Amino acid sequence: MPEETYDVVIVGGGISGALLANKLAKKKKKVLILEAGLDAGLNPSTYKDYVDHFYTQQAKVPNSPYTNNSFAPQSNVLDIAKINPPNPETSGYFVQYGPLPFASTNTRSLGGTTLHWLGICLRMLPNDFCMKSAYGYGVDWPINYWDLKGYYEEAELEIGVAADVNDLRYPGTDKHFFGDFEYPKGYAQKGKKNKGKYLFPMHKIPPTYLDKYISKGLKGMKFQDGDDSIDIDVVSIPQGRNSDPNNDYNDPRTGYRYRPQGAVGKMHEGERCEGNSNCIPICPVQAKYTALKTLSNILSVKHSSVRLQSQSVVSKLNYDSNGKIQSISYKQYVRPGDLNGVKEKKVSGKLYVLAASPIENAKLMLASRAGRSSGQLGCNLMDHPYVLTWGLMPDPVGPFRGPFSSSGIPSFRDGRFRSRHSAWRTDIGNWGWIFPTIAPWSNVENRVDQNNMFGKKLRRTLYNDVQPQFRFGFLIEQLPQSTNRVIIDPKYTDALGNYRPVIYYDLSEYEKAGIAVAKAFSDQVMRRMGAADYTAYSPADPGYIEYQGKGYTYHGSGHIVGTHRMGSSRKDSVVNTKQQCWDHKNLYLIGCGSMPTIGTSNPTLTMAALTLQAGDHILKHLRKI
Amino acid sequence: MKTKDDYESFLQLSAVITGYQRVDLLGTGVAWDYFTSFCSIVGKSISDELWQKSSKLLKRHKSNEEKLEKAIRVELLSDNKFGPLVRNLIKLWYLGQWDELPAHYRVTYGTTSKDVSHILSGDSYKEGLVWEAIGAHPMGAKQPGFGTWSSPPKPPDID
Ligand SMILES: Cc1cc2nc3c(=O)[nH]c(=O)nc-3n(C[C@H](O)[C@H](O)[C@H](O)COP(=O)(O)OP(=O)(O)OC[C@H]3O[C@@H](n4cnc5c(N)ncnc54)[C@H](O)[C@@H]3O)c2cc1C
Ligand code: SF4
Repeated sequence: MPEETYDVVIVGGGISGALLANKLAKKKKKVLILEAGLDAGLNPSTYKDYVDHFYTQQAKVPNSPYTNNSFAPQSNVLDIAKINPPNPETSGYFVQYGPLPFASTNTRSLGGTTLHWLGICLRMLPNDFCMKSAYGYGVDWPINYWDLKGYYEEAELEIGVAADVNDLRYPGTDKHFFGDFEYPKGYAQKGKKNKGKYLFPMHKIPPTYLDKYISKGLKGMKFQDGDDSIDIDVVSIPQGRNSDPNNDYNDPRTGYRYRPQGAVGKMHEGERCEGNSNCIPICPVQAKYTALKTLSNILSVKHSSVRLQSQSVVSKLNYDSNGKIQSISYKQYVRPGDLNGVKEKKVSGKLYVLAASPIENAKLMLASRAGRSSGQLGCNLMDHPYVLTWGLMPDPVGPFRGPFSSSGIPSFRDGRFRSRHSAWRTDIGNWGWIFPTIAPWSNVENRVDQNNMFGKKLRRTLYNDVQPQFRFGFLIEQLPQSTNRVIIDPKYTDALGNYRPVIYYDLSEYEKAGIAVAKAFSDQVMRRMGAADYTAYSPADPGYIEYQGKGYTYHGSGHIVGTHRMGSSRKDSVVNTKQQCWDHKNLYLIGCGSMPTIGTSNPTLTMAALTLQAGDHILKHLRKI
Repeated sequence: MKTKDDYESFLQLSAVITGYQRVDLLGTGVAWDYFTSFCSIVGKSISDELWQKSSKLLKRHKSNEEKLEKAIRVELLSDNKFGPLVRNLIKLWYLGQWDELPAHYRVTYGTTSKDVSHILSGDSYKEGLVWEAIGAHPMGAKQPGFGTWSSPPKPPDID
């Protein structure tokens, strides 16, 4: 028997679940959030446990602070390995048939993947919404940029985004891109209204010394791509990271000036990014946004209408012959890994929302034999294959200070070349060669073990080794393909008996061509800067590919997108523009899974905007019931 | 008393091999922990030998830094037995991390069950000398403050 009835039952306590719950809480809707992982991190002491755990981990990978929990297992970049088809690679949580590895990971603990996300908050560009009609690739979205513009503003407020509009220049856009304030219809603004030219709640995160150095070096640069001559521009990146508040921005939620939200339970900490240079995997002062902030805001309200229940792994949706969801089945555990004390339970609501991240959402739907009429469920899994190049500048550039990346080169985010190869975004990496070579650890080991250095000479050498280090990252737009997909197989289950995701993944010629041009662009930048190029790709790398006789290596960006695409027809999509499942009218699927294409922006801000829009539809839907 | 003398030899040896001053090393707050961990990981008899040998070299070349460095290179770092230990001690100071001793060392001189690669403690990670040496701060700790990353890097004062 179902236990209790809610207005909305949300599966997953990550950013998508949290933003939606926040919206529903404002209207006092009775909400239950079921979270598979532990609810650690919601108070300063358990958050500190994460930080302390991170300090003692040798491999400081994204999931290193967040211990694996066999009842809510998560993928780990250390498990990404070469695949030998037709045999799957099964050592990690994902069962990977390839032929190439899907290299991104997510976190299954309260707060979800924002615990270790970087916090870059870019909007998609207008042409990203109509790839098919503009460039003949991918699909068009059933909505456009302008439909979402107001929701972007709402998302930038809820996350707390730092950026200066005048600083942001993107190809294919004009002054209307940010334009005037345009909160969604019906959005209640308290106090003095924000009107006229759009502003972000906080000023931009100051650029690093390296950003300025590269910007100066590339001034006036053009790059020839086929017939197109592309102007190269270095631009700061909007970030969900605390900076100086914008005094002209009125916080429409309170009616007062915007105040950056600091650490959960310790609000005076983390009101500014303090340069811990550790945003991935964990910001010790919580200057970076995580969903824990939104969740704690909701839950700390007296008589909150939202209830959070952690350690509850949803395993199935139960529905009647009309497709109406009747209840959700979940397994609640007392201690991770201890099968004693696991209880199987059911819960009901008027509406149900899956917010468990694209791969988990798809898996749950497949396990419930739900939402399959379009044949697209689980398909169109996307990421930004992330290609690195690295080198040494002629001068010290001050790496390992400040956030992971504060500026980028957006010049290839849109253009006619998209009818030939992938668009991409270039980010400038502030942490030297940590990603490609595990600097500075590798520098120490090399100088001590191989070069027999010690004493002051070692000290001096390390400074000279590391100071000129810089790195670029190229986030390549991946097209939706039905063959890149998540399925389930009874052969592969986890310790709680839930399915593990089984993944098929490959890169197309379109993306490989994009990678090749991005690398040629990097070569030219290095020459122009007088930098020594140390980029090296090895056939032994899990993400090694070849294109036109040359080798390249990609990594994952953590940008898990697709699997329950949104569309205008039930024939070719899983959800409609409200993110309501075509086959189950009282079920919504939210998160990056609904995005039909990925564009070149890190996806979470767009997903947050979509979630807030879905929230308005859900409120309307509730009024009708 | 012997322990005190050994600790002193450990500190003085550490200063020469890291290029930091004794007082800098004490200032990390992890020196004693490194000393006791080092001894228990490599075993008492070998560590005793190392401190004795170091103490002799340190005394012999007390007033000549160049000669002392050379002696440490020749008699410790290029010695089959002591070399791997002293290199590990350098890495311990720089990275806060113990690297498992090389296989040939383990076979010849034996080791203890504690000789596995690991980070000694949260503090040892944060006190790794490498961060200061490269002109930065340990990632995730000792944050330099808002906007500091905008200014040009400053080389540390070594001499
Ligand atoms: C290293 C890294 C860096 C990133 N940086 C950026 C960035 O800079 N900008 C950007 O836009 N995006 C970034 N991302 C992506 C971003 O983190 C995700 O898009 C975002 O967190 C997804 O939010 P979500 O709420 O949909 O899912 P998640 O954050 O994954 O949350 C899902 C939640 O659901 C829970 N859950 C899962 N299964 C179940 C179940 N069966 N029952 C109950 N609960 C369940 C999980 O435990 C989790 O709490 C990054 C990702 C990574 C890995
Ligand atoms: S740079 Fe540091 S303080 Fe700033 S967000 Fe990243 S980890 Fe937090």
